[in-house]
Amino acid sequence: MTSVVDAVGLGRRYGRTWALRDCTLDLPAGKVIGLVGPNGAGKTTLLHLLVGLLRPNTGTVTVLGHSPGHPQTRSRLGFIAQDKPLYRGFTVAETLRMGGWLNPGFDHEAATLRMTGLDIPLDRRVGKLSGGQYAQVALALALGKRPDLLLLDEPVSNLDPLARRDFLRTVMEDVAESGRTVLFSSHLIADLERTCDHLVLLSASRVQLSGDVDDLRANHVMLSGPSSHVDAIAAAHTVVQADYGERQASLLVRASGPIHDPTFTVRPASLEELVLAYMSSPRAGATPHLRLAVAS
Amino acid sequence: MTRLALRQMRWSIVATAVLLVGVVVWLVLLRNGLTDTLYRIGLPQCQAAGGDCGEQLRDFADQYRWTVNTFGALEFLPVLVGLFWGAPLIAREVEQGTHRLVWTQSISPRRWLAVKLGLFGLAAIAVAAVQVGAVVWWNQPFTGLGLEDTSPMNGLYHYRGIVPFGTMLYGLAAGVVCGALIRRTVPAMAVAIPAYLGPRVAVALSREHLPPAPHVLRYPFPDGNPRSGLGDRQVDYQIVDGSGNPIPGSSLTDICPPDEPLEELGRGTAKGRPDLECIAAHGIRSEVHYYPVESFWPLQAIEFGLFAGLAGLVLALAVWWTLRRIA
Repeated sequence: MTSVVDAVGLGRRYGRTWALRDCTLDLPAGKVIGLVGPNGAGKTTLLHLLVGLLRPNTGTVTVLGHSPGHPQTRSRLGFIAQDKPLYRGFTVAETLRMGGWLNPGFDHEAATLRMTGLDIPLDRRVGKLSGGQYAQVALALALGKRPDLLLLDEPVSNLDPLARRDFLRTVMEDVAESGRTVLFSSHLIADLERTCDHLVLLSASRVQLSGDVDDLRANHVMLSGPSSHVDAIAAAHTVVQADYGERQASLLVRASGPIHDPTFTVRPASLEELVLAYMSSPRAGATPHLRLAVAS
Repeated sequence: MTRLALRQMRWSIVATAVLLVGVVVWLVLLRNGLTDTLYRIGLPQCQAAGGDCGEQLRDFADQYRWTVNTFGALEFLPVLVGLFWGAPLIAREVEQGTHRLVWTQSISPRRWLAVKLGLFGLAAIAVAAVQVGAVVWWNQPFTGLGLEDTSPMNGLYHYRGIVPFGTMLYGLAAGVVCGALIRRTVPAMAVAIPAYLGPRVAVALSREHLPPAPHVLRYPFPDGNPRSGLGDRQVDYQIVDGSGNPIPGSSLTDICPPDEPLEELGRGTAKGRPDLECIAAHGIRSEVHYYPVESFWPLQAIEFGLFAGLAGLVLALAVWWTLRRIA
């Protein structure tokens, strides 16, 4: 499997504050990759480093085989920045035409069809569209480039539920058709659960978790059982998060094998539980170099 | 990229074209009015008859000077170029986040900046060309009358030749750099005004200290300037003694007391013409510092160079800052 993003020790700071630190990532091609993390965790910084808007202070990164600013990478990358900037005074038609002015391989016809298919009037000014239609124009512009890698920064965070569903549906239909790789950030875990094959969790400026969603689901279980037995569990497995009651404890565990203790009830962890558990224990890590730093 | 930049410039270009049409109409009206005045005063008629036209010349010079003073309004052109073209060029994109849209397309940010700056630079040159053409045309009927004021060295000096190209480019550059550093359109516009006017005023005030040095001519006091009517720009006049040291006009009567008081001016102070023989004996002369008409192009070239160089410098800063510091 080839990788679309290969980052080693990537770091970026603003003044003395590190927005992203020691980021080592290898993202597989042909997947829908979710980038989650609390606000301020460095999601936008990471995406901006990948598209070449920012330069790293430490480390190296290759995107689609080249450094981010490279013309080869530039033309194969689609990006929608947070808040989806578009020229609000341009009409929809002008916006799509602009896609052609700025990108040699722009598929103007497909982009226009996409708009007419969604009943978005081509002569309407972009600034006058509804939030959902506006987002679709931004998406059509990014997809018109026929990118190998599509990066979306919080694409649905400011959309109503219906528009959010339509937006993600458009993305997923396109992925099914084209097989392109998508990396999108979100703090809405439910959206990720429906769409993602691969998950990257950033928190406190570091990559806390990166892996295939199916693997993550298979490895993580929710346990509840007597508090007194937690130490034994922790000796054999990795306890990501533990909530202690008076006698009972509930644990989210990264299991190293089958769990034999009969006093515990075991059930699979949902992606949401898993993400929340990692987020609330920022020192717990599942990336190789952080694996030892387990919540105690 | 050129087409995107042109699309974005559309309304700026239309507004500027309207403004320039207004300027040209204003100049046509002024020229017609002043031509009428010229004939009403009768200067061309008098000169054709070959008489002494001193009085008409003075009358017309007053009218001409009064009209030319209103040309100061043309100073607004580079300011407006800086405000409405320069300041938003980068600031508006950053403000609305659209730089992240264009900088992640197939073209590079460097190319984007080059095209935008190039097109607006050409547009600024076009504005300067229209302005210079209109001003030179405006002045045509009034040249050759033997009037110091109508010489290209005086009144209209700033608004013709190549200086307007330099100031227009610098106006644009000042706006661009303010926009790049401040990143917000309206504050950038506010700062762009002093950023343009500062160097503009500094150059205007220090002009005669810049090379080339003015010519110096001494002639017997109190004769008239032998170069009068040649279109010089006079930058300094003083009275000097035999060894060339300047003496204030008021102390002239101390050196050479008047031979007879010509008039009594209250409180018994006598004011009269100094004794001319005494003045000749002391070797007292007038000294003028002036630029002849032939200095027009060298002076223009130096000022243009200053503004164009400054424009290049601040644009380089704006480009560097934008590409390195804005994401």
